Amino acid sequence: MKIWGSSKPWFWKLRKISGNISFAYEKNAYKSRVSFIKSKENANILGSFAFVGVRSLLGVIFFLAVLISAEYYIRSNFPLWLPAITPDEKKFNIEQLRLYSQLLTAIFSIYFATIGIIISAGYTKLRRDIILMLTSEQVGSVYSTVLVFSAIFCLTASALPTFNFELGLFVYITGTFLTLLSTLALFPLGQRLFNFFDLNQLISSEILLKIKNDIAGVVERKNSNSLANHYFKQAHKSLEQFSYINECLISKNEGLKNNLSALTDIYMYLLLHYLLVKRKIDQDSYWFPRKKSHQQWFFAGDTVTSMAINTKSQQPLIKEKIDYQWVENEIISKLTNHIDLAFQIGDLDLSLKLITRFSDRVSVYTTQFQFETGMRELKKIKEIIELSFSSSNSVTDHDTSKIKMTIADTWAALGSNLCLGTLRQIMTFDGELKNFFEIDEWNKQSLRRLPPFLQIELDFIVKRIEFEYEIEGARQSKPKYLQQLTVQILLQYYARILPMICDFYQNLIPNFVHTLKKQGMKEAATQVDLASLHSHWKLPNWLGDINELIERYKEYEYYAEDHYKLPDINVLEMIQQLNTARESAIYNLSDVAMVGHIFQPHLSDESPDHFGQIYFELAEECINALEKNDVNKLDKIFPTLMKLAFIAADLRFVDPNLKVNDKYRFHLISTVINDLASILGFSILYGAYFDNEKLSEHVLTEFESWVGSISDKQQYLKRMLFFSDSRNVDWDASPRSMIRINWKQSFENRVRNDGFESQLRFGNAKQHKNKIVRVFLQSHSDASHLFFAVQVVPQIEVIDSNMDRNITDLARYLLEGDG
Amino acid sequence: MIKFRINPLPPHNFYDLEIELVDRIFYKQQQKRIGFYRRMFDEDFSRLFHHSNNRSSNLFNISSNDDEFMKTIFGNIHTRRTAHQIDETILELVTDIAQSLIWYGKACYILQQDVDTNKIHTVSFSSEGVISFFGKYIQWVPRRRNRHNDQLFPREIRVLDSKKVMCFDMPIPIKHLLSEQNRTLVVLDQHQSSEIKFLTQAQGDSPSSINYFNFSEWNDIQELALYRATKDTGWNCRKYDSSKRSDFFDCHRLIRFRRNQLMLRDQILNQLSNELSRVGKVYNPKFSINISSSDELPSIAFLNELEVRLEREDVSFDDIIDYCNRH
Repeated sequence: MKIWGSSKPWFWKLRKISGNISFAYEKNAYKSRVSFIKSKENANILGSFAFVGVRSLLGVIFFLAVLISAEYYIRSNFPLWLPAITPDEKKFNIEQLRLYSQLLTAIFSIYFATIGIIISAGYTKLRRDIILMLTSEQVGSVYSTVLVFSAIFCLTASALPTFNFELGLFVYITGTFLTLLSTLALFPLGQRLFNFFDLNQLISSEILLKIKNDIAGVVERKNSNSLANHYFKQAHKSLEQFSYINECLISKNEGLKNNLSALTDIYMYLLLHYLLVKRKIDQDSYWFPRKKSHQQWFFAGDTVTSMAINTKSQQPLIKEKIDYQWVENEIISKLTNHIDLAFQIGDLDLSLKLITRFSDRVSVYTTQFQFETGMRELKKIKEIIELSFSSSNSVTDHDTSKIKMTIADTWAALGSNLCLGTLRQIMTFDGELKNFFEIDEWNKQSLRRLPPFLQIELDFIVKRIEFEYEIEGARQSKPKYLQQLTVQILLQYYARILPMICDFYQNLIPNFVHTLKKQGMKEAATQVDLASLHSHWKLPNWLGDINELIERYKEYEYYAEDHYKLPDINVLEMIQQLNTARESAIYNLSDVAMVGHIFQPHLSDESPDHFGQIYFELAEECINALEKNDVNKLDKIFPTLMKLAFIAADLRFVDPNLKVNDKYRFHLISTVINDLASILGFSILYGAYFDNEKLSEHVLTEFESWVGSISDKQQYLKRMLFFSDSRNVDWDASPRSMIRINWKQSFENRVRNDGFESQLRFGNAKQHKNKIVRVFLQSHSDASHLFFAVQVVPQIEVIDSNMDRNITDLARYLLEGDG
Repeated sequence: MIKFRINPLPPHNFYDLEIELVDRIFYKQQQKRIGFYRRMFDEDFSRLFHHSNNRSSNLFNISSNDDEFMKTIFGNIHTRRTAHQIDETILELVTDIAQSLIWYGKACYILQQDVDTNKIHTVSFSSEGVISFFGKYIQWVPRRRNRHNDQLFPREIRVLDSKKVMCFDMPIPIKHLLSEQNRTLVVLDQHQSSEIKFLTQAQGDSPSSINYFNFSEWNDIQELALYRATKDTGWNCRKYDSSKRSDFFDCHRLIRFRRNQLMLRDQILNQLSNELSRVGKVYNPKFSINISSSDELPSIAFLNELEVRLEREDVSFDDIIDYCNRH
């Protein structure tokens, strides 16, 4: 029946007519809604205006009332003082009204003339429709409406006597009242006039609201296609006007600072608002522009091809690709443009401020699964930063370099936030997904709970289920099948973004550090590098969790057919790669070319303490390398650590400018020497334990060559011994031995796990074949003692009797064995 | 003028029939033109067996009380493809019968004894105009004209030798099923190229004439009608490229389609055993034969089980597709 109908022209004509009718209905509804909104706005203004009027009028009325009552009192009690109203007085009243009307018209014409002058002054600068908007905002307001109305009223009133109408007292009073009101309106009118060309205000008061309304219109699913299309066009127009104003504002140099941050704020507000409502927009809506793409004939499918060959046309083979990201792309290009401009005018503070605004976007990006958008933006910002840093190399005073460092640091931190936030979102989304699966409801409505990208990707499932309902009358697709499809799509997305996250740490940050280093900004490079260590510490665990999650998702793989296979994501390999990235970050820290600045002695609280952090990081890494028996790594990072330690012990803490008390000073030196000695001691110990001579060889040579370069070697070694002695340290100050205890404990744990005899375990344990290890385990000494006993004591000519017994005992035991 | 004969009209005739009002009562002419969808469906539905080259020989369970006679009777059945083994012969015969049933609704065969070689040939003849009347078969032949020499033959009624004629009818449930579907398919086929009509209309009358035609909606309506019509038969409409169909939809349809086919196959086999037993009695009064499908071929029961398992998500799509396409 329907097919027969659909093949007749009148069927389509009828459809068209019914469509027209419903469209006309919708159009009317839209128009009345718009006018209602407008009148509501006006009523609002009127209300506030009335409120102001009433408030200021009250005083006047009160005053008038007092006057009138006084007059009445006088008139009734002393009638002789005031005569009744005579025709002369009436005439006077009319004259007065005439005066009012003249006054108002004059004000009005002056007002218009002013607007005209202002416009003609700036007319060439702005586009016509923007001017129109400006003037309609000015003239169309209630203030000027009141002005016009009162002018007309007074004019009419003064003209009435010529038609032989008696004017009563009421008219006079009303006219006076209106004139007063208009006078009151003068103030806001004037105020607006001064801000005539303030386009920022125009944006926030007019355009932003319009765009928001239009987006709301697009989001509303009740609207028909044509209405949604209309909203789309409106929004597009407003956006375009906005970007025009944006161009206007940033092309002027004066006031750029304020304008840039204001514009960034508005754009960001728009972006955030949009991202939050985006998931409600219909996927097929024309809000998203289409792009033509041509299919291959052979891939197009039987139906399409046969249809195309029947009509000999290429039309059926054209598929429309939908651009879902156009708003984001447009706004982001504007935002990055702002940052670029801020750099161009050389205002680093401003650019830092603008970059920091990214942090507000991060949370929305992560929760809405817009990682790719965020990453794109970050990359653009990185390019801008690098470009501007390379061009403004000449200025190198302290403040500039500090703010540059902050900018670099902020960028890296924001990137880390985005990556970690996304990882967190992946974890939390798991719960949402489970809920969704439990409800097991698949339609457009329920899909809207999911992030936009899944909505787009899962659209086909909904279409299939609707089709099944339509044809078979029931849903045939079963939950497990649908779940597998969903998880497949989700994992495909993860397979795309997880490598991007790794790439950020593996390439982008090292790249950035490298560029900074090349441009001579060592501090910034070091800061970014050090800051990235924290993420490196976090990431393996998080990725491990995600690995578990992905393994769990494997349960959803129910159908084994090839095209339903879940994608394989190798998270463990990513962790491995991140590990190497971390290693190279550590190597960077021991690279003198990069961290050279920390050797200059200055202490300041304003910037992070690179000296200390690098010192502790490297010490930790040295022990780490020792535990892993990694000679290469140790040899690479130890020299820097040693240098740092000697600088600390010999220069920095000895410096009399350092304002600390002597006890504490002594203690600081002692702890540094002990750290160094412990590391050297552990290198001997681990070398013995692993039976790997090389582990300690290079390290000790380094130490020897350093000590060898000092003129009075004996004295120096003795000083070291003296400072290292814990008996000399006042225990009031913090002993700072926690880190070293950790190192020692980890060695003991290893010994115990490997089944060797130790202090805490006798009996069924075997003995280590190396003597140094045996002796060390049996004594109560620390690794630093071992180092002194092995390396230093033999070099000292006169052995002080007051030397730490731990050292002397160890030295004796070791010697005994040799003999 | 009416003539009476015993032999049916041979299948290959070179006559133009002249059908008059009287003939229409008895003689049901087949449609000259078959529509696009109808043609595709007939082709798909009549393919009861999925051919494979390494065919095993025991596709059917045959039990008969006179194997000798059975072999002679199966030895000379004229099918479209020549077959050598009995199983193959049955398979080809069933395929032929199914095709005739689907196209004409009826299939007729006659046994002819060759006097010289004493062989029994089973030959098919046109089922047009064949009427069964209290166990008698009558063929109504309208007036016809020879194409070569323009000779006119009068109207004939041939009373056939019922003992040698085998007739097969479409099983009633499948007949209903098909007629219901085909009604919609015919309408669809009639309007199949309407969209071009609409398109050309706009160009023909005046270049700027307004065309209210909405192709995508028209397409949707057509598709909806097509799928609704084929719901019970389970035909997939050969639209393999539609993204709207889920695997569940496809598998359910496939199972339904196959089940209908198997129903037809079993019915034909049933009829075949009955008819063969009947006509065989001419040669051997006690002859009886029973043919049924063996386990090699897919069975309805297993398909039903598959459907239930599919509901429970207990079976993979590949398994279903493999089973349905097995033979």
